[in-house]
Amino acid sequence: MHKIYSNGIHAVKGLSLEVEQGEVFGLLGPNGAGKTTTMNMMIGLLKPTKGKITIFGKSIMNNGKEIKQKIGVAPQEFSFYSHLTVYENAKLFATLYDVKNCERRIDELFNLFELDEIRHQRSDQLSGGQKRRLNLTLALLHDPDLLILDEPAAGMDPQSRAVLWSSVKSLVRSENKTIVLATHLMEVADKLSDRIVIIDHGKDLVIDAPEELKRKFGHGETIQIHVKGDLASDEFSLIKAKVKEIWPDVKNSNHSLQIHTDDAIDDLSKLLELLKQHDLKQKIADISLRSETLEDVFIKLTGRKLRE
Amino acid sequence: MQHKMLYVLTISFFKSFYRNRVAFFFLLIFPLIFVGVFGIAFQFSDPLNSPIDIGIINNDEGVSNGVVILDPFQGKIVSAIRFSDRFISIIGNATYPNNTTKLFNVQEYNSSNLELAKSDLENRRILALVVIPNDFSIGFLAALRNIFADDPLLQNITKNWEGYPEPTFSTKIFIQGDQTLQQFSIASTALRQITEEFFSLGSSKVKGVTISTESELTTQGLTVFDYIFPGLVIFGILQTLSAITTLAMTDVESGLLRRIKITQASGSTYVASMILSQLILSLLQLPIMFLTGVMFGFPLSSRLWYGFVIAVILMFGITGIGFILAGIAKNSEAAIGLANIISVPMAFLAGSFFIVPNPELKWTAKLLGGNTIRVLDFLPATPAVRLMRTILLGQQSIKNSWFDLTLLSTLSGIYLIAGLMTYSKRHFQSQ
Ligand SMILES: Nc1ncnc2c1ncn2[C@@H]1O[C@H](COP(=O)(O)OP(=O)(O)OP(=O)(O)O)[C@@H](O)[C@H]1O
Ligand SMILES: [Mg+2]
Repeated sequence: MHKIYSNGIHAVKGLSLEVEQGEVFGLLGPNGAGKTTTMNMMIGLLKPTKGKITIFGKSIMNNGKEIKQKIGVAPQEFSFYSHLTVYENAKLFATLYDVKNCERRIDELFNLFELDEIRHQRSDQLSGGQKRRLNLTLALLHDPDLLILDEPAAGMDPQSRAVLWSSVKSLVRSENKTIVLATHLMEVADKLSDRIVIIDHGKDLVIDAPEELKRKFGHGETIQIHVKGDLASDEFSLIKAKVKEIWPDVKNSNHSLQIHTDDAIDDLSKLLELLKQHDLKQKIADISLRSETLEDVFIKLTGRKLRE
Repeated sequence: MQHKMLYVLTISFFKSFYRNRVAFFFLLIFPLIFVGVFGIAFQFSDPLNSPIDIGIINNDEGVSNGVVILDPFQGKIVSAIRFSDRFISIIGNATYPNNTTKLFNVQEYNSSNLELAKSDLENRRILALVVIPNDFSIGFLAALRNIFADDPLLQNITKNWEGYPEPTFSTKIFIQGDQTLQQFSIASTALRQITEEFFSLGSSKVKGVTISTESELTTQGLTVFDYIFPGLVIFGILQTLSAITTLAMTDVESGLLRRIKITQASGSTYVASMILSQLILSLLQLPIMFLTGVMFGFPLSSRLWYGFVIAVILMFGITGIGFILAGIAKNSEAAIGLANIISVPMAFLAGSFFIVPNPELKWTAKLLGGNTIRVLDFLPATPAVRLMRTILLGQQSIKNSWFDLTLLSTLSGIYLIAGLMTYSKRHFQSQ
């Protein structure tokens, strides 16, 4: 599909994808890549300038009411009435989705997302994470088969993110839902998705399982050396010079050096030997080893970082 | 119809008014302050005293032969006279009580210019029109005969009133104008008084004349505040335009409308809820406005109920305009800005505070069985102001204003439907 906004911005340029029933599918891309635009087309809020979308085998344009009932959407921005309480918002949207037995469903979701204790609190007085959870709850009230989550983890600390993910995952398993989520955070896409599509400038660059992508586009690991002084200091130049003798393509940022390696064990022992030999141990803050991430995949594909 | 959805949405919109306690307090206190300020201001205001523009058409043919004519003003017998000339000069020289300010600016029209006079009256170049009939002078002779019937000297001079009209004869003077205007009320009261004095020559016997105002007035004892109050109510209602537009744009602006759109609620259910919640608010505000008016001396009568109905009908029209603005403006600032810009001029053009020329569209008479629409009548507030004045100040029942009522309801309906259509086309279709 294509989307050209009325102001001329070509936000989606020939993106094409298929999501399997029951999978968690991630749209990963930097800000402005066209993720939200794509999702808004998927749920029928935006008309594609060109292209066609079918959900559960039906075109969304002609089967609005029926398909709407099968989709739950948690938009990127908080979408609920701030002057209403948590419960009032849930009750309102349950009614708008014509949910039978809505009290039971509300209780169930409030328990799952730990909103029970604050159910009578006004929504504008919630913390950012609580607001995210309410935003998600409202998407689940009518027990949709397909969940569309736009930046579901935005503004949450890693801990609450983990809690949120385990709840979502248990939900997926118990209610067999299909999830499409958009994010610019690679950890989110990596940890949650069965498959991801990497989007940049409105185009799909690659679609696959995260492990496959890392295997295909990345290999080996990165050794990271944190130096106590910064780039301008003498010890930094000294260490860099020594390292460079063995690994000519060493990269550096302000406080650290990165060595790409296919044989981490061998290279790591060489590095330690080198530091010992030149008595540079005191000048090093720490040394770490990390495997290739989606971020690295993204950089390889586009030549730039996800978060800029 | 999605009753349950309509209900929960209406309640949740209404909560957005009252959950903000301070704002809600001001919403309710606004009509009180608004009417109160005018009430206080006019409580201490001087009564009106600047000359009122009136027109006079003199059809009087006078009297000449076949009768001995007494001119009581000069105290002699004349051979021919038009008593109306003196009558007009008395009107022209009349002053407000206790000062030297002239009561009237008199504009005389030729008897062939009745049409011009009427159109000047329509356009408020004159506020009252006095039509002196062709038998005015004869009527005055009848008055003389009655007053001096028992005076032997005059009986003798007039050869026992030979050629005089019967004592029961009377001429009829017409005074026309808009009875809902304070100036007209002052003018017609003063003209009646002057005429009675003229025909009784200062005695208590008024004979030979009847005075007919276009319709009967109950304007005695009304204050300046009473006169401005109906227009004030309309002005107050127009001030809600920006609140309605704000309400219509809030969910669009916050993006919440996108979430509503993907639920089962239809666009019309959503919009109907907004209108209902606004109506509930108005049902709270309007009585406060009327009661404040009563507090400042507006006569408490069952007519206020009719006024209330008119106000509610107008509310629908204003709501429609609010939705049109929300449907056409580029963004919410533009929509609310437009609402603020147009509400005050609309109130003035409708004639809430002072008279605005509002020429008739003559050709509409054919279509509407003699009733005509005026240029500014496409604003729903214009017939509303007229209705509110006639009904709250005049003696007419709402039935007699059926044309304006029909016009107001039709306009409100059209604006409301146009508003709903523009709004849903803009905000409820995928772009
Ligand atoms: N309503 C709109 N009108 C015009 N242009 C728009 C509109 N919404 C988005 N755009 C433009 O389309 C492009 C894609 O935007 P989109 O919101 O889809 O990106 P995104 O991938 O969701 O970004 P983010 O991670 O910041 O949410 C951007 O360049 C944006 O400026
Ligand atoms: Mg987005």
